Amino acid sequence: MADTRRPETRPAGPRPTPVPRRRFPADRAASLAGRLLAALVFLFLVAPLVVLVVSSFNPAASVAFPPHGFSTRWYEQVLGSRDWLVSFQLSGLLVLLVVPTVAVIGTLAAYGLARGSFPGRGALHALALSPLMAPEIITALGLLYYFQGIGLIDSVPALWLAHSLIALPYAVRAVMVSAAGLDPALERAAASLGASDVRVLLTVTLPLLRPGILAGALLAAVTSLGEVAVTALVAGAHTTTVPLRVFSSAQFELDPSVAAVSSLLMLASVVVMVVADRFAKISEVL
Amino acid sequence: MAAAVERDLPLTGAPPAGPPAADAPPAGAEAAGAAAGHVEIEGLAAGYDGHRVLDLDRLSVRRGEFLSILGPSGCGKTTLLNAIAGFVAPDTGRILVDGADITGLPPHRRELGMVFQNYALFPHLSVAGNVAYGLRVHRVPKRERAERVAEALRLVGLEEFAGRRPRALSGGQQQRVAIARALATRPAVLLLDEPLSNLDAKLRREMRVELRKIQRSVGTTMVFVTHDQEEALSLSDRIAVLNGGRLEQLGTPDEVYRRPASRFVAQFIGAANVLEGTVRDDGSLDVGGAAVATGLPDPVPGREAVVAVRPERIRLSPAAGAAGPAAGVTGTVSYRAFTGDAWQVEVRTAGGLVLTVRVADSGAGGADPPGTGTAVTASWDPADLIVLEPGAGR
Repeated sequence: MADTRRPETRPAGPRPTPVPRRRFPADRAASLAGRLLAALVFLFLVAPLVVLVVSSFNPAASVAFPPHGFSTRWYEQVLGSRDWLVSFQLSGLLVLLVVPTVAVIGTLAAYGLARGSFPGRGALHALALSPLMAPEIITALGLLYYFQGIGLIDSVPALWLAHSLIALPYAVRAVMVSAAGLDPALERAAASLGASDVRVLLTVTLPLLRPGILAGALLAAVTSLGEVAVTALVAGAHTTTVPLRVFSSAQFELDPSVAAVSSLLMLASVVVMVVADRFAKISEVL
Repeated sequence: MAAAVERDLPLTGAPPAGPPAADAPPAGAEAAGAAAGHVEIEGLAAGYDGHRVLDLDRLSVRRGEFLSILGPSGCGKTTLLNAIAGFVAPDTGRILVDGADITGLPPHRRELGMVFQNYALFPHLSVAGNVAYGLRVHRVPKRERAERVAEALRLVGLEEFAGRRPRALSGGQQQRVAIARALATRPAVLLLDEPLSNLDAKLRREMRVELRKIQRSVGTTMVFVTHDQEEALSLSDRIAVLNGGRLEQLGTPDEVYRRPASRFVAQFIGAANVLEGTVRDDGSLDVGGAAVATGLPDPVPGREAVVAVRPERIRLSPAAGAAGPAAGVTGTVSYRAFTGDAWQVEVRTAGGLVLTVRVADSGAGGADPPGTGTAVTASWDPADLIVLEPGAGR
């Protein structure tokens, strides 16, 4: 009662540890340093993409940075090029094949692994995620020998299978996050209301797994669009995907058309991400 | 305790197409209770990994009855409910609803409603969508579906929340939605798996009253699993006390409380003081060396007897002289605690026997029980003695 210096001071008794109202200068410095560090990391992540996009508008046939002037000639060249067009079509076709494949297999595998209790579940889990663990070049070599043996090299089915294999573990993991948070009582509740197993799957399980499935599908699309290592070994002259053509262009004719292609790809994935995030909170699962 | 069912709402038994308006049949017509099922359980045994958790000889739930299945955790009560619902396949035995054997049917063919402990509302559907789920599954036409959803929500007092998401509701409201959802399909039997245990104490008491009202108004047979004896006593027409997977007693709340069939029931419901000993020559009971005048009606010296006294039936008085009471024991107060409406007192006798006594608070400290260390006599009316094993000649 005598202590009236601060209105919030507690009455007599053991004095609680005071909560510091004012920060020490060291705290402020630490906070500032933290922000600065975060900004630097962000810059580090974004800088290559910015450089790429800016370079793609370079009027000169060099990759000099910063560019002098502004031009869309490389975009025109890329979009008018037959070679690039074929590659875009192939990559698009692969995405259309890989995404549903991975989404279906990944969802079923993840749900089974998350919910099931059967012998060998742990081993199967490890197997489903194993392509993540093995270096890609090893997977690529294996696929090369195998596809060579059955004559699939340089074909769309080969790339379809290869991309699905590489993308599957990402999808499995994404769906497993959703499946782990799915309360089994919800499915029981649906069954108690008269819903058959199939109906429960369609009206309760899949809608609730949707964020994970969408995230998995997105990861599959991005993986398929960006895959180089495995594709390089399995593809051939007739199956040059966009990233492969970017790779060879960058090696042999370093001009801003590669930057233009990359910027287009980036734009596409940003659009897909934003749209997908509107439909489901996939950012929670990714 | 007769299940006199007042039907304010034609939720059950009404013909499928009948809107709840003027042309609804009179209350008497529905009293036949087409939707109130009768459950027979015969020789039901279930277990996990060879470990038997449920072994019921026979249990029947009457039409329109509110039956509580009461027991400690691990007593098999949830397994029993899941076996009735079809989520646990029993090893042996049969479950019949209205005479039809449903033991082999998958859960979705059993036409039973279920309410879960954690509500289990579909988060991706609105409140109305949740309630309509079962009706959609049963292909109820759209117009009637809307009417029945409104009706079910009105029953639980949540009409204005129809458009909300379950997550935007409080726990008590969510549980009411779950009840509405389960009742909307007019199941013959509603199974409730500890539906109130996730609610806070005040809400739990309110929901208890609510649940009983709902049951009265719809008349559906309800099987209610709980570990809370107070809940079971206040809600049920009958209580089935389960212990270790076996049925200890089946009876009305007052039967189970006043005439427990076993030591377990006596101790689990109402925490009775159990006195176990040998009958002495003078008719008192030798409990661990101490003579306790229990008031056993027909004592036969030398027999083993087990009796119980409810804490609230014991009276405390200042230590009496050598004469001693007709039924009672002397000792000292070893513990005393105020619990709001009563005092909890422990009396320890010289022989080491500890009796728990509940003394109703008389207000304003008028007649507080004696403090710790005081010598007291704990006595009871012989008529209040619960005889678990008589020790009488027969």
